Amino acid sequence: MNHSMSTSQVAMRAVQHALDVIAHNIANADRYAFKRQEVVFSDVLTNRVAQHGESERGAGRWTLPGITESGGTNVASVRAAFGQGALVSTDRSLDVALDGQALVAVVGARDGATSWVRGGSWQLSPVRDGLMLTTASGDIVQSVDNAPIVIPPNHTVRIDERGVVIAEPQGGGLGQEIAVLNVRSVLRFDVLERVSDDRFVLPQGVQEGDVFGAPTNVTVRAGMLERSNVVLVQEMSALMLMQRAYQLNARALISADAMSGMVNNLRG
Amino acid sequence: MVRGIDAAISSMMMTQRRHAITANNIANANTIGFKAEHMVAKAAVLAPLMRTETSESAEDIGAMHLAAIADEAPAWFAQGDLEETGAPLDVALAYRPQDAELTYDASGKAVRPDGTIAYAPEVFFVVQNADGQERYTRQGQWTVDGAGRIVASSGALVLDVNRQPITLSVSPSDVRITERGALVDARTSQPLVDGGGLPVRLAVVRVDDVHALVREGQALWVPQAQDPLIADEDAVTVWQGSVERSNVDVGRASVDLMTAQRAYEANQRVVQWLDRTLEKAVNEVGRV
Repeated sequence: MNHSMSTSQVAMRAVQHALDVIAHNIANADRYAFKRQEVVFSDVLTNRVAQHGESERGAGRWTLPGITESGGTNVASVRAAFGQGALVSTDRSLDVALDGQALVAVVGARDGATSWVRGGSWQLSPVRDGLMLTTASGDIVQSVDNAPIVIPPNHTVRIDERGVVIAEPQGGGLGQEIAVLNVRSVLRFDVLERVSDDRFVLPQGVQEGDVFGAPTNVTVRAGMLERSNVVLVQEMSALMLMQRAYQLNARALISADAMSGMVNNLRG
Repeated sequence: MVRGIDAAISSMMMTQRRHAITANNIANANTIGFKAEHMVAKAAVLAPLMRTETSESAEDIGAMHLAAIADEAPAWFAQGDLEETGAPLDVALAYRPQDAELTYDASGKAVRPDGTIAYAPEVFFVVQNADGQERYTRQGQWTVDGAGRIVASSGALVLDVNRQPITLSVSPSDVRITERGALVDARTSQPLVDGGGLPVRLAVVRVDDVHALVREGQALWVPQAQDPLIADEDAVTVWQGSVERSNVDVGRASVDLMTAQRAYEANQRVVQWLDRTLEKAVNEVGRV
């Protein structure tokens, strides 16, 4: 019936989605290694109709026959921005941040599925022959040999810039390289699927080699954490823009409703 | 009967369409690469007027229009504002049509010396949809798929000058796109090459007959002709790390909404008045 109404309603839904994404970014502005997201809008076309009595192209008409009936806007995709966040020093040897476009492999303790993280506040969990390196949520940090990294008893752990894990005997002595973190450069970040705010997985059917490459221009920073790449000023201005967009669409909806009211009262 | 009712109703339907088009412009005020539409109305249904004085003769004294229809909704192709995003595969086109004889106004229109109207050419990126057909777009918010190909937000593949999908062998953050659309490895400053060893350049076409393009949705336009790639003398700049915002003027769109609503109201008033005239004719004329 009234095309403006559905157009505005569809657009309000899309803008609401954008508001949700911005709110999520703001909510996670202080979360370590969080990557902000943004929506990509795209226009919706429902139909192209011919009109009775329309003129010929050239004879007072610019376009080809027909008139577009557009349906508003929708969210075509939600993209993650993989920009580097600022590094903050924590002086805790198991806090790990990556400097460069890379991810490090971890394996779920229960399901054994590989996922990829940007580092984080890692822990040591006791296992039979020592202490195993895990993430804060309990996932097992992998070495390049796809094995868990176990630190022998009575050793302290240090991670160097290339991601080599060094176990040093307590009370002094020569450190021993026990493993290398599985750090990989990300070639195609857009392909990765985000399973939680700091964890990514390969979507089904995509090979590891399609997304990751050998680490280049990557530095592993132990004793540091990566802040989120959310810039609050940017998010607030986007929030204001979206709020106004929502208002404008609501205004169009009210106007369309008023027009429907007029038709209903045509008989006076 | 009273023909004015038909005219007023047709005008209400036309105004409804104007309202819908304005609502769609507002809906897409934040859609990257969107081009606003405006509606062109036309007087239609020409009825001849005859003067009859005697039963034998009828003289043609002209004609009157009995309806107004929404004739077409051309796009307004004016350049949108560029917004810097810093993303390596956000790309915007900026184009200033140059013609030695014609100066185009803000709506991209110019009048030739002989009085005919010329429309400014426009430039577009070329993408390929899932059916293998070429489409044009101004929306440069691209990503990379699992095979390393550059894809638009609709999933269409971005094409190079040889009309082939562009497969990146390096990370998108290591790609630099020159102002003429050539892809360069940012680390080595060497041009990126395709499978045949040729340097990769984004396909940018110049469309001289812009109003022949048909809007398809998803920021895509259906081409109607083989449009040429941009030449060296065309003043086109490809901006990497920027997007072209929608060219919808929300202030104007708000005013358009109000005027459409009021025009609708005025027309329904006319219908009511004419209805009252009919009421008099039906109930009062000839009463004794």
